[in-house]
Amino acid sequence: MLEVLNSFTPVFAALSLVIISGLISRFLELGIEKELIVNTLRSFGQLILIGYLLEYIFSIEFVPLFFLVIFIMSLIGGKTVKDRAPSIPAGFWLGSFSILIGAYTSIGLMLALGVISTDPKYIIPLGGMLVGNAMNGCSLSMERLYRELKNNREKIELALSLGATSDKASDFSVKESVKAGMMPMLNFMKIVGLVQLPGAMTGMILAGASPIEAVKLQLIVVYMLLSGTSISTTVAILLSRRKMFNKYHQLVLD
Amino acid sequence: MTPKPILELKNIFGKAVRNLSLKVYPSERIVLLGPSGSGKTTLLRYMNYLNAPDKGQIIFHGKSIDEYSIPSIRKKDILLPQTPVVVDGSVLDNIKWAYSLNHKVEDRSEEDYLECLRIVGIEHLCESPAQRLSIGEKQRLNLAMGFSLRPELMLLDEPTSALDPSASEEVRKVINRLNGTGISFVIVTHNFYEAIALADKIGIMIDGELIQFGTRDDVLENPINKKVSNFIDSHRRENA
Repeated sequence: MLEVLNSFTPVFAALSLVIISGLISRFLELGIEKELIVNTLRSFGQLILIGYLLEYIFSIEFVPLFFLVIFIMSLIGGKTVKDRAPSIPAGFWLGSFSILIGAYTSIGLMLALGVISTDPKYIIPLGGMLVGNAMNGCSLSMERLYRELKNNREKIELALSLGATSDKASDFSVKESVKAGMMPMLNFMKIVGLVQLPGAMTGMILAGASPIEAVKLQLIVVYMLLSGTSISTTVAILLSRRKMFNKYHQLVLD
Repeated sequence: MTPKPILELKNIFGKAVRNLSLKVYPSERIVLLGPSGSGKTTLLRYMNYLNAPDKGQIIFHGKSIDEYSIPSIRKKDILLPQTPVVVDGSVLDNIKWAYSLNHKVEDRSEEDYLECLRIVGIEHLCESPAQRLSIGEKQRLNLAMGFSLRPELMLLDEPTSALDPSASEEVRKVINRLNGTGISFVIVTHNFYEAIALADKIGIMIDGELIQFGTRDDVLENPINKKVSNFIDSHRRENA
């Protein structure tokens, strides 16, 4: 398979599959043909661009640059968190910082334990997966925190008015929000390998690795994603909570 | 020796409240009467510091509240909501929940918790799910939750507005009983009869201002101006 990919011909051949989706849209009058064309071109352009960029980055053996790439990914993730959880003040900074902490900690631990090396072929794809999962976890949990505080406002304010600190009064909401952020990852772990083969494993098998090797790498990836998401979600929620209460332990919801 | 106020408000300005000053002394019952939108609920929230006023001073036992940690004041100066709020679990669990907000549950004996229910007259419901109580029983449970903290001052927002006459009477009896243990009350209401039944002192609030404040009889017999006298007369007629 890899030899075939020496030229772009097979990619253009695969593009013909998009025509099937286009025909379905036309036949069922879904009206998404324009979106289909734009998004196909967009994904093509984005991936080609990132491919060449990674090719260049991989050729430079400068480890801090790899971490800079993850930093930039985290900022883009932070922007998505802000858009998905608009009710939380300073969502961009909270999201970016939380994602970064989760990604750096998980990669740092794996490096320290000698599970991965500083080779960019590990750091950058793993960083990308960590950022993507942490981003989903953070946006889900932050939006949940806002809803929890809003829906339980009477109970939280009763607790505050009886002398609870804001931490104590929002304890339950915080737990529920962190759980909400981690749930997609836990659900993924429940069915991994049963319903679909995960991306890293599929990629390795397609590239010619043995399934057992692929499984080992996939397990490492899953555990990294779990820890990264847990860390990012927890940091995001604890920081978000500080934005929802002031120093006088007053709930400040818009 | 003149008693010192527990809580003092000096020249408070804020959302719906204008230049309001008030002192609450130990064991007294103050009822703030006024039409809807006159700033009564806002004032209670300022007194518990659940919201901060724009301007003015709030003094607790002679010191500005800035000198305290806010939760340490709130557990002595508690605010109970107009619509009672209970948490999942039994009636007894609710009392323990309230106490656990700033203490260890084990610090008190089971008997202490039951005592809180006894004083509000719902000890027999201790094992019942709190969510299934009637609104009047929930109101009494909220009072018991507050009492479990042994506060110095209870701030009540329209405590009987959602209750039928007999449940209202029960709640008023509970307030009298709790007041007998030394707790002061500031009660906000637009119910004239309730004000007469409960108040040592009455404050008339209109358009965010405390127009008149004094002993119950003084305010009722000697309205300070036409606005107050009209307000009192209209409520007297309603309750006649």
